[in-house]
Amino acid sequence: MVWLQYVLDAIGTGALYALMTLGLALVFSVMGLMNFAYGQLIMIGGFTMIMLREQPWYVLIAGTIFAVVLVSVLMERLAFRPVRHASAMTMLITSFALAQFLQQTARVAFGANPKPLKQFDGLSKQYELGSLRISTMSIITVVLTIIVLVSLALLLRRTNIGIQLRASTEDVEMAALVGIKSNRVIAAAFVISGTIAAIVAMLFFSSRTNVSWSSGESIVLIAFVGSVIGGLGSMVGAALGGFLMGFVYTMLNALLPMELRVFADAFLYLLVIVVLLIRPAGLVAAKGVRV
Amino acid sequence: MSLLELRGVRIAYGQAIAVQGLDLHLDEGEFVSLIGHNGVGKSSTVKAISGLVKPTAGTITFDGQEIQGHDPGATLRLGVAVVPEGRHIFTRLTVRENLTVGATVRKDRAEVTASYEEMVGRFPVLGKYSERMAGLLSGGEQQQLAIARALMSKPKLLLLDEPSLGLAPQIVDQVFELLIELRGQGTTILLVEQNAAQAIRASDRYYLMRTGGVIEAQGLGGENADVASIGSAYLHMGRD
Repeated sequence: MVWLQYVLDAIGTGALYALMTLGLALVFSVMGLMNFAYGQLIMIGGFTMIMLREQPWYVLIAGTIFAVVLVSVLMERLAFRPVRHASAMTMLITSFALAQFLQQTARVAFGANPKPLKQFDGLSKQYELGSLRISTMSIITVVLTIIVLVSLALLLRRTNIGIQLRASTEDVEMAALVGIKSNRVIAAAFVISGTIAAIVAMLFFSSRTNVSWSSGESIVLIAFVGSVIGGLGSMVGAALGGFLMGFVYTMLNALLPMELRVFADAFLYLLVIVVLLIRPAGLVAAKGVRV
Repeated sequence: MSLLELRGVRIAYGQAIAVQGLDLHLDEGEFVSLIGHNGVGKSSTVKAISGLVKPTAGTITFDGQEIQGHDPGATLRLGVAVVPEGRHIFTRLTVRENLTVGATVRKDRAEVTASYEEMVGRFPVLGKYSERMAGLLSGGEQQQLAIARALMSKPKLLLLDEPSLGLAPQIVDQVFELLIELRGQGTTILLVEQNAAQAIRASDRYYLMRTGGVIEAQGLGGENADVASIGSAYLHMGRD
């Protein structure tokens, strides 16, 4: 049964990592941009939660989503739109510069030391099923991940903007010829990506005691690697890649002998290298957004 | 007044001049072919009319309005729809979704639904495979989809760039039959084609373009056009 407990814990982490990866992968699919400032959106979500911590829960949720989406949209409008037709390297460097700008701004605004975040009562509650324990947070994370995945699939399949978004990722020139407005589609992608980043921030920081100006760094690395092993451009691949990153990492931490657990990261990235050697295009190679 | 008129159009990519001083016109309801060998500037002309490329000189007037330098969306809103070379259907969208994005510039959803029904009536194979990924269609079916997608915008002018490219001869015949049918229903068509013989026979008039985007000859098309003479004089085609 202890194995099953590890699997349950790993599913919770995997679901969170899958969400992290989706937000990053969506923007990459639409405009070929690996937005390394995505982690800073999640960091901004964390600081917004600190500021709204004493407000009712619905104000905290709405306020966090609003703040992160606003920064995400401004990011696209002010930083990425001017370099949209530049080389991929220019866009990449722009995203690094933006990440640094947001980090340092947070450092100045909130200080160099991590800011404490008061815990949310009830979220740490554990349910027992025989000898298994499931935390409220794990249940919320898995349920929200499923809701986001289904909502995203419905949005991409059933709405005009979703269909236009998929068309734009496949053939941007033809999309222009049928009258699809690239500005509108890309802005929509940043709104969706920002919403996902806000949800990730709320899930991620709800189980942590503080938020730091550097909180986004490790998150964006996980999301980046998850989207690469999943297959760049594929939404299903991104979710799968992110999930596997979280799942395997948790399992490694649980199953490795105590003296080797400190090397869990090294084992994880060794597995990533093996996956990429076998499937260089990722687990689900794609052209355009696949749902 | 012509529906489409190009005067002194020059298209260049850096130092390379693709089209130089091009003049042509098209009246409403006409089916005109622009023929010539590969690389003479035909596709550049289509790109300039559709707004993908901005001419470096000259004017392009459509329906009384100068459109050179307009973006493709603005040109489409005025009524110029394009079936590009290589079809460029959205392979990961279903047939229905491809047709839906073809009507992006139209606002009235009820009319768009009516147009969709009209298209699947006109092209039964598209109705049969409406929920199938478009990339799974055959070449001929994809060409029908590309034409139907363009028609979904209710264009005043249909621009087709090499619609016969890569298709089996039997399918090419079907494509030309379809174009003649569309012309019979009042659609104005500018066809860019390497398949000179069929293009001339199908169209009301033709322009023959030579390297540098210059019109070398022009004349009347139709079933009785002396395609063999035109071909041997300008295109180095053998007489059939």
